[in-house]
Amino acid sequence: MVSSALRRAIRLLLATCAFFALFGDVAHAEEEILQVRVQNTATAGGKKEPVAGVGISVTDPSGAVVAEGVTDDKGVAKIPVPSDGEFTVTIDEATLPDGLGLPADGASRTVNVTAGLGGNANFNLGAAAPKADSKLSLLPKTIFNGIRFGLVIAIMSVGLSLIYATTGLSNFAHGETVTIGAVMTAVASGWFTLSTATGGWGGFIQLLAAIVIGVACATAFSGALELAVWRPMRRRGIGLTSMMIVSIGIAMTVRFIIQMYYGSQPKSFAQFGSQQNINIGPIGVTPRDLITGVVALLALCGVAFLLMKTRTGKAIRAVSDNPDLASTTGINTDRVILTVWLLGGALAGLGGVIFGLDEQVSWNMGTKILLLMFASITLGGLGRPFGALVGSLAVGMFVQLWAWAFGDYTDLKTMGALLAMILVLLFRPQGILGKKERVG
Amino acid sequence: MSQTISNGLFGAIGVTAIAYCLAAIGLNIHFGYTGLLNFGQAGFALVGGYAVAMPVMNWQWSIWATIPVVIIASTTFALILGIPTLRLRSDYLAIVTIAAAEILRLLVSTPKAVNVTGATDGINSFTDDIQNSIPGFLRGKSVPLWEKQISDYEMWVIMLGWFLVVLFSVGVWALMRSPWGRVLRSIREDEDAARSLGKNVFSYKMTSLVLGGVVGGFGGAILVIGQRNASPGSFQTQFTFLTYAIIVLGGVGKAKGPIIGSMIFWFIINFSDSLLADWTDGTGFQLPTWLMDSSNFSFFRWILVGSGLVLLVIFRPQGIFGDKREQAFDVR
Repeated sequence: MVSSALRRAIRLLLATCAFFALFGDVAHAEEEILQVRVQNTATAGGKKEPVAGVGISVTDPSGAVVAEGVTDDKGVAKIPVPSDGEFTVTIDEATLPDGLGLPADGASRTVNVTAGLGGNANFNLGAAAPKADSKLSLLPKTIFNGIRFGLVIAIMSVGLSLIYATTGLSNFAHGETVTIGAVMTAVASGWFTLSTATGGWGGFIQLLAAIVIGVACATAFSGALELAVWRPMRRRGIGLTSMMIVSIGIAMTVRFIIQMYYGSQPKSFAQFGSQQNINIGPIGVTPRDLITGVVALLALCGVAFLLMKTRTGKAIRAVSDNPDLASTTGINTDRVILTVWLLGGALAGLGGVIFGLDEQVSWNMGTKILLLMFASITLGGLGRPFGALVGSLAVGMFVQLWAWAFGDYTDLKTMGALLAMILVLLFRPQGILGKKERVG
Repeated sequence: MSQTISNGLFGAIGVTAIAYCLAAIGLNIHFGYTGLLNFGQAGFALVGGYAVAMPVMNWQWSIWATIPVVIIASTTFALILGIPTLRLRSDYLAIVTIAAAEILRLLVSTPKAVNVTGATDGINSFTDDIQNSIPGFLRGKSVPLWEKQISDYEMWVIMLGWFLVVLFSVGVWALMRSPWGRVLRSIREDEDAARSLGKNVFSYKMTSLVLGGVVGGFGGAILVIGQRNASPGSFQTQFTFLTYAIIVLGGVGKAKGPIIGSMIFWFIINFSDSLLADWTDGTGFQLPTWLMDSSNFSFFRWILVGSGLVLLVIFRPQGIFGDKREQAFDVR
């Protein structure tokens, strides 16, 4: 994936940072110098050549442009930035010379500018890709990514959907369950001293142990909330709107506790390394992406089996149909609901881990994806057991296809999915799988 | 300590408190009186804010001429949201409004629209007309609030803002005593009963959504004027959630609720922030660094808000000064 290459580039950058910093300008007390080098690697002899006149913009984490620059005839731009910290450096594609295209690892770099040392970013341009036919050849990969993204959203939102079905609660704290799964895995992965045998199984086993800890934390969080908050509230007869607002409060509390002690910077798991693509037909995929996709698929199959074939699953479906009727037939609804919270928490935590492997682990990753989760379960039909799966696949596919079709507007891909949800609700308010009923 | 209290007091009457208060007055019409679960108040505020900033920036309008634009834009947004969703169950409205607000935010953030909306940087320098309209007795002076100095511009926006707050609060109070307001509350209590009495529930809900949206739009307008910057960062989902916290704090379904709520809320936020900054700055009384330090104390206020919201809803749903019998919380 692009993200792993990006991460490798960042690591390289950090390593070279100290070297280049020796030549950095330390005279300014507050202003730091960010050195950007743009080179052409697509030359005849394979020798790197500087590229002049490339426009460069520097943005801070909030996305605001803080500085701009143009490379000189050495292919270097020294850009003063107002402070140290993390910046995103982007090269302007429109200013590239003819025949040169964006680097394989993207037009942007995230750079840590250190006080007194500055920071730097390198861009190795490649030959401009022929656009017309490459688009179609990217379609299989896009569909694969769509399905995979859909599966990941699905395992996160199964819990959201089942909780809604059994208790009627739209749980806004579900995003934080996802974050806890990923963050605790990242924290636990840092406890192990890295096995020096790179490429061996040591790191894999360590990561596996960390994942078990992370998922256990997410499960415990979810279950503890049910026991400490939701069950007492249900007993007291507090209504669903109040519970929904309480879930917002819990989400805020937990989210900012995580930000306070985990930090605002996204991190990777300690055992994370970059992997080579393996080609399956027209689709190039890293073993990691393949494995996590299969894991997500297996988890969903497990949930389907549980719901359709086991007594517990039958009880869950009975409670979602009609809690009162279910409890009169001797089903212990409280236990069923607790099972749903634990199951949902575990799956959300697992989803968080996979999402954290795809992107990075950040304090607000769950919040960012929560809206897509809601869109998925609404699309699939609120409260339908398999609605989450169908809706998630639709949303995942839609997001990836949007990015594929409107390459210039990838920042709006989430918007496309949300818009689609609103449109579906207009014409089929019960969702794709929902029962046709009066919902007014 | 006097500096800390001054900061808290400034928070309580400042532009942010006013903006959130207006948004809360609007949300109170939706949620408190009509029972509409609007989770997209940030969207209404964004519409209002950009309705002020964009015409001034792009077409050199006078800022005063944008007042009708705020009203028209918020009304349009309310109609677009309401027509498909007001007939649906309330949780659908919640999801659709939160999604619509997020769509708007993404739209104005996109770099492609940088010439119209300023993308993530937003729009600056559209407030010259406000600056020029500062009355003579304020111009060039700074007003002291104990230890805190308020600039003439800020003071002028604060005065305009509180005028709007009073105007809308009195308006809401009067409207809700009218027969029209009683129908709204009957819809909140039992929609089917209201319908069976021959009331057109949909049109009442729609009017409520439009009214509250317009007030929320003015909240956004005051916010961007006070900050002298209209950027998508001000209108995240968090905006809506804080507005909910404010009306729960002040009392849901009360005309004075948003005012009380907003003032207390922003007092607590600014006071605690200032206090913690003082306790982590390396001199005087210090908090242990494993608890918090100067780099992360600023997140603590949101932890405070979140846990405060939880405790309020569970243990005191009628708000601080509310009356339990009047509590209008659990709408369907």
